[in-house]
Amino acid sequence: MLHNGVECEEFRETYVDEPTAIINAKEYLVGGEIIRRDVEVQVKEGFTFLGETGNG
Amino acid sequence: MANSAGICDSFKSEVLKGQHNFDVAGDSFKLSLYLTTATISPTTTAYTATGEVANSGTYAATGSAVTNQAPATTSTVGHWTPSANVAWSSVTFTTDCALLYNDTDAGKASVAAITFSPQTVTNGTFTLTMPTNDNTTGLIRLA
Repeated sequence: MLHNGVECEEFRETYVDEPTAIINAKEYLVGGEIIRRDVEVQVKEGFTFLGETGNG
Repeated sequence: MANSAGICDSFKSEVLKGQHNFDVAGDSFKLSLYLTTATISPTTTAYTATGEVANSGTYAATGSAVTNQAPATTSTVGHWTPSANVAWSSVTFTTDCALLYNDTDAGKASVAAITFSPQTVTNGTFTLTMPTNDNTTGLIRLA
């Protein structure tokens, strides 16, 4: 069968919410073997630098 | 030592010297990807091929350019984030780190290291989706 245009027997999709990113993985399997694995790393937040100065 | 995230220490002083221009017509910045065994961290001063994932699919050594957008200030915070996500297709590798660096700079000065849990991509597409470009989540923020 086709999943997202990929011929496979099984399709699995997972979301993992990590402290700094959300990981979305799509796995396409044939005979129990992963033939394709797509990963999207959604960066939640970047970096801040330079804090408030103390010269006020 | 594993990969670790953060703004690169050297970048902080380089900004004060005007070494980086993030504007639309400014410098070209790239993202390169690293193996879980690499040692990219805030102490990294420049792009390095050491520990970089091997060429695979559309991923080639030194990584890919990001698309600049104009830096902005929201409330009291200056911020900048690439305007588009970065993706590599038909790749096979395991990575847990991306390094943003200035490709225009002669020394390929580093900007920031981005980390996440180790991810294995198999004959597939690896996409790095950028955060919302604002004063609370933008990729680079000066508060």
